[in-house]
Amino acid sequence: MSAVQELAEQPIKPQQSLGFWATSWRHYRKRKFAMAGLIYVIFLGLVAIFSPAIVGTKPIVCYYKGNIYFPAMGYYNPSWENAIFTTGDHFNNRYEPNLKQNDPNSWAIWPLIRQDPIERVQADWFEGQPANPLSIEGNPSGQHYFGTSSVGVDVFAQLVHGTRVALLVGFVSMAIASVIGIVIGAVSGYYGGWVDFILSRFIEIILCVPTLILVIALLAMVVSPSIWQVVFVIGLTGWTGIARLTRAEFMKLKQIEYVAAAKAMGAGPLRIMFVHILRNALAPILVPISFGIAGAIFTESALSFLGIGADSQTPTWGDVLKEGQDHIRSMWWLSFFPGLAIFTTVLAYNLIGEGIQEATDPRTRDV
Amino acid sequence: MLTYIARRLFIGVFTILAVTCLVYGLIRNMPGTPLTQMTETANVRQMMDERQQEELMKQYHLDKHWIVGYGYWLGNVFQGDLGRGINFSDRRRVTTIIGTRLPNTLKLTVTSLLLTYMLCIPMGLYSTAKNATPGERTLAITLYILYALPTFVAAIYLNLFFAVKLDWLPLSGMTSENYSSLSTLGKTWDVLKHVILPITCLTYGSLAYYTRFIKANMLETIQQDYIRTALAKGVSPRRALVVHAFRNSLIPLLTLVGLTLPALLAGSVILESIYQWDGIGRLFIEKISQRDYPVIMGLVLMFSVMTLIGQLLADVLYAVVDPRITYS
Repeated sequence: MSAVQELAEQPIKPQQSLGFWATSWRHYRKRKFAMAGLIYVIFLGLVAIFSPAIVGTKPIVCYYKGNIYFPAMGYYNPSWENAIFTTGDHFNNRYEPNLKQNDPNSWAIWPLIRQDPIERVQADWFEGQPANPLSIEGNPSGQHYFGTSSVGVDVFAQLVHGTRVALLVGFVSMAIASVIGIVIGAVSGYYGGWVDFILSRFIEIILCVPTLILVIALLAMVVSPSIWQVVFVIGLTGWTGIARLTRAEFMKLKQIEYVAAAKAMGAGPLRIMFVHILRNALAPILVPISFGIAGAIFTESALSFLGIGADSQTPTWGDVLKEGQDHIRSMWWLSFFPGLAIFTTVLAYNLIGEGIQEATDPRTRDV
Repeated sequence: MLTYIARRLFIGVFTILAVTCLVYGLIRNMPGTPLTQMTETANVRQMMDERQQEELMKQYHLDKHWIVGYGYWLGNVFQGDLGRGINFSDRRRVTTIIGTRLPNTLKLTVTSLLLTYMLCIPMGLYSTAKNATPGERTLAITLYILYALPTFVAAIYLNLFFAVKLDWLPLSGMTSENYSSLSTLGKTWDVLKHVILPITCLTYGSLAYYTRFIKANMLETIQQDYIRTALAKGVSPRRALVVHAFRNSLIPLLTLVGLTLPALLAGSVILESIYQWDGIGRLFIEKISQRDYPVIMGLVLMFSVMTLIGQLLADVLYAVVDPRITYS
């Protein structure tokens, strides 16, 4: 057999066309601003995950009295800081002198910048590192990139550790809102009739009260809300947009033949709603979710800024901004940097939302 | 059409009942009552003895289950009585309390709305006419950034620049301390200096939104056949854009007018507390922390009625302007 024949006899494989998400990703990738937003959010995610390794006064890894410890984990959750350093040997965050004094053989790997988001670093904390300046002395400098607060806490450290709260608030509250919104929208759009009537009125009721006012009223129910309660309340009030869009998508999609085919094959309503229809409705729903994350970050920092936010140990961006507002005449850096952090994050999520909208909508993506 | 409006109003009454009932239940279940919040802050002389407290509790039905209290509140509302504030600092009628604050909020929101409309229409038309030119791209990016900029961040940045660094404008407040001694011209100038920053903060976001909205609608409209026909018949591009296309894209703009109605009255909680502006938003926060139930309920009633009227207005205007839309 000649080579030509061999080629001819090979079955011609039809080139597999790209799926919906792969095509959308191709279109999304072409949009510079949307990509910039995505890269920024990924960067923030990395900052949030590695925050204790970037700024902190607790060693990332240390060898102490024959064991290896990871005290920096305490920044994620105070109870994860090894008990030997807190209640055991009473380090009180002064790791360097205590390690040396209690165990000459000890060693430690330190975070890149030795500053704490909660406490002022004193002169005796680290060898060769002076105490943090206070109030108006705390101008941004090579030692303190974003300056220090009125009680001498490093603002850079506060913002880096605040990233964790900001991202968490966005994701978790929108996860709650998405579940509520998608379920209510799906049921309302799929069943129609009086179910739709009642659920639509319910959405209308929630929409009647301005969001921030509803959040404030709900938060007043608890005496001193934790960050999780704030997240929960933001999620509980932020689902109406998602529900309305899901409802509209479901009303449109349920009339397409494939739904009838699925019904004819005996699929139940739950299967049709959440396996068959939701898949096709997911792309447009992602858009308000992305905008919603921006909105949730905005609401949380607005609440902290107004002084009715969460009682969290680690200061949030809004907390720093509030302190800045109190000292606006003398300490500009306390307002400028947290404001920039909130603004850029909200902007990035908005760019992502817009990018998804344009990349998944066939009317706009081929332009 | 009339039956449609009647039906909508009928449903609206039930929606308002549900909203007020929900909020009443919510605020009555907040920890603390107006009386406990008062004794926490009041000094000894202002403290009431127990008998007086009990009397007040009875007067405001705080001793009964919240649903009973809601019933009393509702009964009074149907008789046109919103009650009086509970807090000792302000025992005036709820309508008076809201009425004295409302003009302050309206001063900001109405000016901002007018400014928005005056600026967004020319900017939207410019964006459509010069679509994809460098000038339009710059404008679009600027507007997008403004749209994403949170109001309180904008307010703080403006304060840092104009009030602290340049010291041109006051940091907060509605008038200066020496306001009463100023001449008429001085008074106007003083008020103007105080409103510039809050109005800017209130306007830039909606301006960005509306301009983008107009542009999106216009770009869709100018693709249509009747515009091509107009151009083919020799209408100048400017006239085709402003007269032929813009008229039709006014329709979606009308719905936005209806939807901004509640925002006009609600004001902005954040901006009013940054600028220490004695408006509705600040009143709400104050009264929530004082647990002043009648005032909170009065405000919620106002918000929900306005929201529903706004929605209805948008739908009705839509049908009036666009003869293709009928409600039956």
